[in-house]
Amino acid sequence: MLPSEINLSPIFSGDNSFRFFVAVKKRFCYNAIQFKERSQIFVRSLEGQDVQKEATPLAKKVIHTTINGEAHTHEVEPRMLLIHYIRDVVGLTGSHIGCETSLCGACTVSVNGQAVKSCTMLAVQADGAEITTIEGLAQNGDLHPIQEGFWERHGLQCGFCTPGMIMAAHQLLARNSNPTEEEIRHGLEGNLCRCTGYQHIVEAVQYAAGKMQG
Amino acid sequence: MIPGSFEYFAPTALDEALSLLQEHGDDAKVLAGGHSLIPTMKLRLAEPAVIIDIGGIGSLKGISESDGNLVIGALTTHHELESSDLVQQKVPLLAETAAEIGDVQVRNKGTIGGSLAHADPAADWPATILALDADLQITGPNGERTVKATDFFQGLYETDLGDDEILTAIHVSIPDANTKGTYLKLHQVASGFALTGVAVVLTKSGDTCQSVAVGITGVSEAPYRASGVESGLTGSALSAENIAAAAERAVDGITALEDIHASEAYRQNLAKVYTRRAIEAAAS
Repeated sequence: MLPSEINLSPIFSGDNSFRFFVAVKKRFCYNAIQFKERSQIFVRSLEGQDVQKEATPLAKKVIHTTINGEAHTHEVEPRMLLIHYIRDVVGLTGSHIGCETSLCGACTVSVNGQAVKSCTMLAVQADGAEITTIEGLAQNGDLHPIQEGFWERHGLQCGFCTPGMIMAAHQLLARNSNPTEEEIRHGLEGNLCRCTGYQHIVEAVQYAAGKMQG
Repeated sequence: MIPGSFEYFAPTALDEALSLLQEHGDDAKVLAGGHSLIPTMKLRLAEPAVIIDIGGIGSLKGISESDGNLVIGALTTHHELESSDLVQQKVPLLAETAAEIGDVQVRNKGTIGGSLAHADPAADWPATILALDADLQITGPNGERTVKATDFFQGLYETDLGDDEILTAIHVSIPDANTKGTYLKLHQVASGFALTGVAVVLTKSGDTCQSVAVGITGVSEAPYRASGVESGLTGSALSAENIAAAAERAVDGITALEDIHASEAYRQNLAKVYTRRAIEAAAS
């Protein structure tokens, strides 16, 4: 595929237009061309021609994860994103898919204690990892203090961003148990709320910090 | 948005990763934290046939002190640099720069080596690495070599790194007590990338500028050292007038980028203003 054949307009109306466009031109096109050619050879080989010549089966990979304390083993395509693995394979749909461009934070989960945007990580990169999702925070039916804070301080309207907000707040409070208002806002900068509920979200995290300190 | 298919390897040793790179050549891309490569693959702008995930290579992680240098493994995350006591104590400019990158989740996963090797023209690390005159350690089929940061960045997404090589570590010489650093950045609001980012490393002798290094990112196709500013200020008194006059030379010989976020003239102006402010902060 040559650059001129790529329909850029639907994708490139956003922020990263310049960067990604030049990325195509300068660096990545060559790989894309090569890979398309290989794919075509592969299709032909499926039709019975020259099967021996095609030597690259795109194997699935077995991964082991522990999600919210429960062990899982699955065979996944290497290209599967962690968020799709969590939602579609494991069936935990609390983590949301928002922007899919690493900006909104709705898909935030904890991987080995680090909050990550699971739309920007491959499931195979999480092989062997301990993952916590929003479903793993409540214990024995009792809401986690952060969840309780969102309830008590009206930290949500539509609720779409909430799982990611709570997981980001969870990371924040793990690193800083008594954050200032500014530190809370800074700590949640990777999460977007489109109901303009930030003030209540900050108050929810303050509530949780107070409660967690006892 | 789902990446195209690829074959996946997760070597646990550097040698293994290098032989995979040799075997697959141009078909392969190296995956570190994935925060530049995976978004590009999701948009299908990159469709590498092979991914070599070096995330499991322990020898590429961690920060240590050796012979007056900080040695930073390429897989060290932005968060690790931001929160490291050793970094904050020895080269606080590195921690200050790390804290300006993306957001918490991005800093948890993105790596300094990945960022430098990707060489986005608006990335933060290049400015600081240039100003600190760092050495980049690279390993390839013929062994190790070291390249100066000033020789590493060659153009838009273009570096000195060969297709069969891996950036393994960054060596930063620990500055003396008279040397101060600053990184000052104007964030593009939505993406967090630098519309302009200026890193300054300044050594004072009394009120005089003994030496100054200025690294600028976000302004041009490749990050650069503002040599006009450096020569204009070295040996001069650090007065407001001298600093302002030197900062006027921030885009000497440079073609500024132009895109939907900033015109060429605006970027040129930003570079001058942020250079002045960064020098003032380092001199104070």
